[in-house]
Amino acid sequence: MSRASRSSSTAPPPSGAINRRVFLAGASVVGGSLVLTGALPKEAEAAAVVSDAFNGLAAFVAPGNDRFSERQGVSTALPGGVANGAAAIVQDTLDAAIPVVLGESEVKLPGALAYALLLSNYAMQVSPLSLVGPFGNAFANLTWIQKREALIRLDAAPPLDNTQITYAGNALITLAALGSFSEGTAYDWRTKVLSGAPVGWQRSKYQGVSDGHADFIGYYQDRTEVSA
Amino acid sequence: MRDVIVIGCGGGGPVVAKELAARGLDVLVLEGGPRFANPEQEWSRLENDANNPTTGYYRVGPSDRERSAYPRALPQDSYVWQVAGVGGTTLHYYGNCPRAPRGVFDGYAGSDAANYDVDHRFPFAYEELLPYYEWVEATLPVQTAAMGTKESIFFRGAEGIGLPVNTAKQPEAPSFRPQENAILQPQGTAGKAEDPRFPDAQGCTFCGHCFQGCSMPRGAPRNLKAKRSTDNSYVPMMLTADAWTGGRPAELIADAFVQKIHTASGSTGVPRASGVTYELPDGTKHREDARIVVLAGGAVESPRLWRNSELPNPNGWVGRGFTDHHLDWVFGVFDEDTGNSKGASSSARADFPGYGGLENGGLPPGLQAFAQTFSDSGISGARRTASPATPAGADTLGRIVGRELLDSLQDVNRILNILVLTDDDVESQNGVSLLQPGLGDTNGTIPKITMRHRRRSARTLRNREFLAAKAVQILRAAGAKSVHRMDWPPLILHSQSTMRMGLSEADSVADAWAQSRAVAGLYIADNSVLANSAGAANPTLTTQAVATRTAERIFTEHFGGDPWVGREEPVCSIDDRVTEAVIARGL
Ligand SMILES: Cc1cc2nc3c(=O)[nH]c(=O)nc-3n(C[C@H](O)[C@H](O)[C@H](O)COP(=O)(O)OP(=O)(O)OC[C@H]3O[C@@H](n4cnc5c(N)ncnc54)[C@H](O)[C@@H]3O)c2cc1C
Repeated sequence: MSRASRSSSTAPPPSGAINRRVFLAGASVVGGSLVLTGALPKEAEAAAVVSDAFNGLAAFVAPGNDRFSERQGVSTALPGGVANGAAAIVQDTLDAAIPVVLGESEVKLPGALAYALLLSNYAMQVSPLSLVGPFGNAFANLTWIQKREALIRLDAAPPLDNTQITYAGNALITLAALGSFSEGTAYDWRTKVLSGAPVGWQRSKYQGVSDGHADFIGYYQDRTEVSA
Repeated sequence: MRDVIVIGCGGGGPVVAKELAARGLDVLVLEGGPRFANPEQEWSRLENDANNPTTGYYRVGPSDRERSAYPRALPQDSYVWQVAGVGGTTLHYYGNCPRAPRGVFDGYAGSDAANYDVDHRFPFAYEELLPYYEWVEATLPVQTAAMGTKESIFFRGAEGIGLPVNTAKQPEAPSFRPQENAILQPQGTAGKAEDPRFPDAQGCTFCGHCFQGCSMPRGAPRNLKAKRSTDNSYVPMMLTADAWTGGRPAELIADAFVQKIHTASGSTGVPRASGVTYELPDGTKHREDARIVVLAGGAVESPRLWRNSELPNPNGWVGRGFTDHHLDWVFGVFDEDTGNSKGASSSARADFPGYGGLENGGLPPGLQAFAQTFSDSGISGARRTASPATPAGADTLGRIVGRELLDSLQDVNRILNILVLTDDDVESQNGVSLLQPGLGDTNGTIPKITMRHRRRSARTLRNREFLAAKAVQILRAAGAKSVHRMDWPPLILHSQSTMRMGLSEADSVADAWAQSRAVAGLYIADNSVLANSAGAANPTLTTQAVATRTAERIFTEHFGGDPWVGREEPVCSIDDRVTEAVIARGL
């Protein structure tokens, strides 16, 4: 490798995943001026605010036989998105994706907590009673129809228009869907170990990764090349 | 001082590098992402592991997956699917290589001439690009796609609505056909076995993982992997140019993100590109100088680097005019096996010149669920959003969630998807700008991608509705028991024309030779330089043909050489001389 002319050598600015402190500092802005949920979650509560929000979302997208699905009133006999680890996928993705940049404010928010608070805020608009319930995020306490209403409102009137946060309005559901039907948390990319057949594969009758399939039929009208 | 520095090793950059390396120039290629040297070991082909936008091995970010991805500001619901790494976004791609329709080029006078993006034609005629198309097609190589179950069902539907089959390279009228694609045709046990091995199996093994990277057939040398993403085709050639021609191998440095393009004052008063500064993962910065700089960072990063380098932008068109084929997705649920998760992802298409095209798209279940839940029309069955899309004859419009998602995905191999590729207009409202200074990552201010999808031009919206309706008809004629239209928000897989070449100085960044108008010696060789959306043709072949022409221009204009396209025989990337050099050098 040739590095002909070195002009300078500087340490890279800190990078990597958003840490918990920055995370909560960002939340104060969300809670205080944007999401309007009032009191800020304490650190321990914040974990439940996040994981319950995205488990509630996973149950909405791909219901299963878990308590989040049961709570929403739409459940199935088989495991669903919650069991596939969709919540962790959404959370990891959002935490790694951002900081969310809020308009011209120069405030950077960490991902998952910001969106979890957003879901909670929309949930309380649909049903103020959703604050009360078994889960640490109001969204997870809603019925399936109420969740749908909260998400419709998020779709129809994304918050903070012209900021990066609008991206999540659509991405939240799709990321939960990816997390529900991909390998989900059955695979750990750090150890490269796949533990068992993911729930999402079983539900969709997917055979899993393969080096090949016997699906070659031939060529349409036996034509293997076309004229120039 | 190098002869040429190429910034970015994706769909376009390696083409210029390979061609100029073959002419014996001293070429340095700088790629900001990783180099995947052992794909059979490195790529799990699992969907979240591969395709997660922030943590996947295919993402826009540094090699070290513990470090954050590079952020993009998306001020609307949208999603950008690109890859940083040697091969760039072709690591993801499906290898489809249609030529752009004649109507997108200058001088076209067919009866449907007014039906194209007439204000933004390519600044030369189709006949001018034709020899370069042929050169790239022979190099990759491009072949007629093999047929699997999902293609046979698509063809049944296309026949069912009365479309004729096209047996030529160019569609002259509405028609359907197998794709012309850059995926080696199956030979031996490929496509016939669950556990194929090279050399018994050659070409496409029908594994179904185009989106997660092509490392098949297992055991094949890198340049004989089935899919001709540039890591398997042009990159092995550029690195072995001495072996298959009398050239000089290009040098490739991965994990080298270019943060600035330098200029010096030029003789004509126009600044002249003089070199670049790039950063390595250890944080060190390095400067290299060259006679010619080629920008090929892709349609998002090229304008970003331009702006972060504070290069001149006299007419304001750097970053503007983004086209993305305003993609949409229509799928049918069948009572029969469709082979949705098997085979090359997309081997069938229908073309509607002046409107765009349709192609099938096979997916494993995670991405299938992703595709079925991404919509600008809200949740299916609930009240509508302000999207201008209609059901276009489908049973549902909008996101499929809850029990409906479970029902439709009961068997991933009973679904047939059709991707709508809209011939969309260049519009100055859509583009890549910089977020306000200070909001950046290590490589400078973050790019902001604005796509006003609900306010696309009347022609763009018309085309998309027309094509969605055709997709619905094909699925019904093929026997789908239910058909669903998604109305995707911008799902940016095909990204073009943000540094467009053009006839007019008023609305283009590059001239007809892909040289920047504002900076001498700076050429553009990725999708960003396309003049328009290439009539909804999947863009890479056109970019590679233009890049070949650009390489020839650089050689003749700046290095006193002779042209070669149309005069010499192209060497194919699977030529034995390339293979032997790849094996001998452990590439
Ligand atoms: C799922 C999917 C399927 C597709 N299928 C097809 C298909 O079938 N046919 C088709 O024609 N197209 C297809 N495409 C599109 C195709 O991938 C692109 O057209 C092509 O990759 C674009 O080439 P490019 O050179 O413009 O950019 P890219 O391929 O994105 O390459 C740009 C490279 O430059 C690097 N880079 C950027 N900035 C810098 C910098 N400052 N310094 C150093 N390096 C830098 C990036 O890391 C990247 O590797 C598909 C895309 C997707 C996502």
